[in-house]
Amino acid sequence: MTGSHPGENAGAAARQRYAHNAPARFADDAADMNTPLLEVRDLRLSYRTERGLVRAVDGVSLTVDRGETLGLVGESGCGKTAFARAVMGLVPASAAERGGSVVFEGEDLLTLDDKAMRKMMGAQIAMVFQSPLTSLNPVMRIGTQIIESLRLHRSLTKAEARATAADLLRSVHIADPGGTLRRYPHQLSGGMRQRVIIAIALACGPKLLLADEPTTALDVTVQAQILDLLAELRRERGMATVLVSHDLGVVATRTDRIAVMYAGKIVEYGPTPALFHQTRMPYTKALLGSIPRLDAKGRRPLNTIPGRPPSLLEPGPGCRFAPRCAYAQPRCLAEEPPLRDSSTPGHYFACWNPIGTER
Amino acid sequence: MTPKLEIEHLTVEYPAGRGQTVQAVSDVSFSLAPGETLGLVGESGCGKSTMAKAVSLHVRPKGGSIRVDGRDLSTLRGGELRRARTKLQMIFQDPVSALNPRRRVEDIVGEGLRIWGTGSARERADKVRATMEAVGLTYDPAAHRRPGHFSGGQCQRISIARALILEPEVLICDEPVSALDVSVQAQILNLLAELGERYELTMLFISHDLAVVKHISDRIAVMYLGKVCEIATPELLYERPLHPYTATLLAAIPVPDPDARPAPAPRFTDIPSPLDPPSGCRFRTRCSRASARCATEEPVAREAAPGHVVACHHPLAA
Repeated sequence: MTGSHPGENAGAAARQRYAHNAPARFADDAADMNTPLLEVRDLRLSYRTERGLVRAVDGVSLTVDRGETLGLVGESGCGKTAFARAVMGLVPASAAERGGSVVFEGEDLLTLDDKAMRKMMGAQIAMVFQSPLTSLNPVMRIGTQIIESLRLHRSLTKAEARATAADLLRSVHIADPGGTLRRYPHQLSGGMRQRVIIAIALACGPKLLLADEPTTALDVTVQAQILDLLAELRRERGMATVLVSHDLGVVATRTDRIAVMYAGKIVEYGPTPALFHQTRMPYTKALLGSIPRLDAKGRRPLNTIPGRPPSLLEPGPGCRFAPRCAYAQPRCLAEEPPLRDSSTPGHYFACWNPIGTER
Repeated sequence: MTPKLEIEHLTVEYPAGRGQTVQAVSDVSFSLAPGETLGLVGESGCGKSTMAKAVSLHVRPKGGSIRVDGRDLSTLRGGELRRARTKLQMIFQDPVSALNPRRRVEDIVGEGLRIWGTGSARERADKVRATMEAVGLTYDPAAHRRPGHFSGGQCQRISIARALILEPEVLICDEPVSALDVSVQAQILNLLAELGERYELTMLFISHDLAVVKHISDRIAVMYLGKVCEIATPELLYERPLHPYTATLLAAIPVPDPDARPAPAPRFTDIPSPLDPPSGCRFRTRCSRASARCATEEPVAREAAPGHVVACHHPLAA
């Protein structure tokens, strides 16, 4: 990427918006307010496979401010989960190559050794995974699993840890915390299990929560409850959240900014209202158009995106969406578009022929 | 007009260990006119997949009947059952695991014809080609393509071709797009709608997603804990839901619009166990309108407005 770094500007714009309504507890923390909580620069993650190097994350830059919720959206295989795992360092070095930098509160996570990273994980940055069925240990009681993280990061006695664990379950609206602590995961419903996982993630008061498709495996009514719960916890704790989802509906009303990923790259990035109302990148528009909507009139065929996402093995030279794009021109196939400014502050897109330009 | 598919008082039970049984489908009745698509929605555990298995004659119901063109198929056995099944074909949720990974896709699609010995080998090959082309796939047996060479959306097309090749009259789709990305989901939904029209298929379309069924259904049935609580056309159901459960489901769907203000989700109440469903109305434990009557008396499905059936003592806006 050349010229000014879009990530920096996006951070600055978001900071401006948040300066006036930042939680009071950060007010005396003025020095910290000048830097984003998380700054990812040119992050690359490639998996070594038999057929070659799969570039799952290919030069992603973004920032997350304190207390902010960033939505990361894309279809399966676009690299959104790989991004979350790369930030957390949850990829074995033997299978993957990582590059770029992930600066969290001034420290580059990619340079930390395992021990330092373990101190960071759970205490400063926590993660919630997609499947509530497989994220908990099936042969350990719920209480033991919550207390494990508490005792690891905070010097609490057993009794204190138990009381804190019960408080945590209460904060995720579990009605019978005492009883739940003694249960095993299979005795809880999917929604309860996901709430327990959120409680574990929050146990040490992390500043950043990475939620990777936290509601995809759940029913719609339970999904709405979990999303409300995450919003409530974020408000109470001033915690920043990266909400990874394939569903633009999930992120539309619950995020401050959204990054849209396609084939390992960010193709559009900006404040949530701008992304929906002044969509520039044809992929974002196509993605929005193919969602079945409740408010649609009559039975019209849905808009579709022809073809399918490209292979991440040997991406071509041009824009990765060009082969499926209705607006593609010769330049799109030959030259890769960089992320560039839109007329809205903090809104970036990667397209040679964006929506809203003269054709 | 005689219905193409008529389900009456269908009940399906599974053994649940320790001498218990769970009633996955409990006294469900509805019918489909020829060429009609009925969307069946509900949350996990409501019995919608069991409905699919019962209607496609893969599980034997405890009671009730499944009539196709007036003939009860639920009691058939042996050769008669096998012949009847050819008219009822099914598409499954996970397109990848629904296909044998070691077989050529052309053989997978043509399997039904081979089993029934329909026509000569040449005629069968022509039929496989025509069906694959109808679902947007190319026919190329020489390439020895296996399901692993195809994406999820294409595998679902293979499943659809396999279901259509025996010229079924009823197509049962059990969450056919749930495992697919939105852009691919739209392609498959459009394809199913187009094929349904072209082959005059009567379709039972099962999904947990009310927005998805809206696009493909002539009528929609909402299920909760083994019971149907509301049946109506999409226009009626989405604009004037009568059952409080339908309204809860509709309110929970995320809207892809940043200006939408979602109503706060109802507080956490777990779905009761189907092993021990609540007395009376099964939704009463989560319902804000529940009264004493709901606990003692089970609401009977009735036509509250023309073409709008609801099973509730205190329906909304009625």
